[in-house]
Order: sequence, then C-alpha cells, then structure tokens
Amino acid sequence: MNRYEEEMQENLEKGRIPGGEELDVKAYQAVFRALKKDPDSDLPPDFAERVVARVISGQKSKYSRDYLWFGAGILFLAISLIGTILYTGFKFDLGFDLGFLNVMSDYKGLVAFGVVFIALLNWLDKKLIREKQFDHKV
Amino acid sequence: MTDDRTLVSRVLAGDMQAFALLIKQHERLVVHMIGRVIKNEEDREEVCQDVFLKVHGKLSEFSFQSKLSTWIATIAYRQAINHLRKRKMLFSDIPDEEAFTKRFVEESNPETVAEEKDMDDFILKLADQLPPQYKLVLTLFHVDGMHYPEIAEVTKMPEGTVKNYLFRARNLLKEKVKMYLGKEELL
Repeated sequence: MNRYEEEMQENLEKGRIPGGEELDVKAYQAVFRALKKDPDSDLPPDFAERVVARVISGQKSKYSRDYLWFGAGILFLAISLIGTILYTGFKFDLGFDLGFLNVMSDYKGLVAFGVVFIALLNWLDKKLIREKQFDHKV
Repeated sequence: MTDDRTLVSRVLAGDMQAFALLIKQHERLVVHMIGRVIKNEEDREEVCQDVFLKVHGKLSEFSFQSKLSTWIATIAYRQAINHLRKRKMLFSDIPDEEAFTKRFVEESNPETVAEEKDMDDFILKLADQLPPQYKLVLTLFHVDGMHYPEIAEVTKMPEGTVKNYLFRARNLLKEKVKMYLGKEELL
C-alpha cells in the first residue's frame, strides 16, 4: 500500500477530511462510517444467567468428582491395609509398645526441628513461589 | 458501575451476582469479536459462553497488568481462533496479497449493493468476506475503539502487523466501494 493511501486512512482515523482524489475520499469515508456500526449479532437477554448456571453446574460436578476420588482413596487405603495385614501375618499387640516412637523419644530436638523446618518450607512456598507465579500471569 | 478490582474480588469470593454483572459489562465486546467470525447463531452463543466460562476459571490468574476488558478480549480472540481451527478453517494463513486483492476487488459483483438496504450494509457484507484476522482487527479498532497497542496485546501480534492488517483491510474495502461508486457516477 502506498503513502497516499496510508495518509488518507491516518487522516480519517484522526477524524480529519483527507485530501486526495474525490472518489477515493468518498469511498474511504463510506468504509469508515460503515465499520463503526455494531455487528448484527446479539445474545439472548438471559445470556449472563445461562453462563452462571453452567458455572454452578460445573462446580457441582467437580465437587462430586472430588468426593468420588476421596472415597476411592479411602477404599484403596483400607484394601491395602487389609491386604498387607493378611500378607505379612501381622498381629495386633494391644500392650503399649509404641515401636518406632519409643526410639524417636530419645531425639525430641530432632523431631521439633523437623516439624519447624517443614512448616517453614510451606510458609516460604506460599509467600515467595505461589505469589510470584500469580504476579507473572496476566 | 462497579470498578474492576471490586468486581473481580467479589467474583473470586464466589459471588455469582458479581459474575453476572461482569458478563453483562463485557458481553458486547465478546459478541462483537465472536460474531465477526462465527455466523451461526447457536455456535456463536456457545463460543461466547465458553469465553466467560474460561474467564471465570482463570480469573484468579488476572493480575491487573492490563485492563480487564483487554484480558477478556484476549480470551475471546483465542477462543475464536480455536473455533476456526476446529472447523478446519485456516487461520494462520493470510492469502497472497496480489491474488487475494484481485479476487476480492474484481471478481465479485458490485451490483449486489442493490440488494442491500444501504451502502453500510453492503460494506459490512464485503467485510465478512475478508480473512478472519482482518475482520477481528477491524472490529477491535472501529467497533470497540481499541488502539494499536491494545489490539497488539489482545492478538499477540506485533503492532506493525496490526496496523498493516487494518490498513490493508480498509484499502480492499475502499477499492471495492470505489468501483461501485465509479459505476454509479457513470449512470
């Protein structure tokens, strides 16, 4: 496209009457006037309500899915536990032998450090990494 | 009118009335963009709904680095492209300049203007025959009043390309109208 055409369009964009051949000016003015018209494509008056209804039904099915997975997880855990007990022949000892915890009770400082360290990592993750992720997204 | 920040925080808090308000404030912008490339009424409404579902799903990622309307327009633009791709309409290919200009300006019949109510309708019908990229930038500039940088942000095209598409599209329409006006003057 040449400079003559560009200048005419730039003038019309600024609302000025461009100089140039009369037929070109008339044609460009007609084009600019027509393009300003709203396209003939309306949405139904209850469009917003329809979208909201779709969001709500989507959320409901998501919750149902989440519950389904949660239930399936618990079931899987129970089956695994029963399977492990049967496979290993584990017997419950109702005396108060705490097994692993008896050993760990000699390392109270280490346990406390572990808890504080994991809490700190979670706090840093929330503060630094997740907030930054959201800041970079449009 | 509720400001964008308040509206967004209300929607994120789960307020569905606020979301309905957000839709009402932006549905015109979305239907302009989608309506330019999708002519079937049912498809058009469905794609517009999909745009707002996406807006709702991604709203927590919006960080006010641009206007809310620009961000929603970006989603609408992507959705329009995806729809065209699904329908196997080539979106990325702009037709060869010389061949397309020749076909567009010379081959179709300018007498069809007589069937239209007026010159504006004739020009809008012509605009419908342009490639989708041209139609979308024309709509964003002329109907939605966006400037080049904003259109570039929505379409993710360089500002120079946006300007080029806009100028070329208007030039094609002008050539066609000029042909018709020339014939009319001879009569």
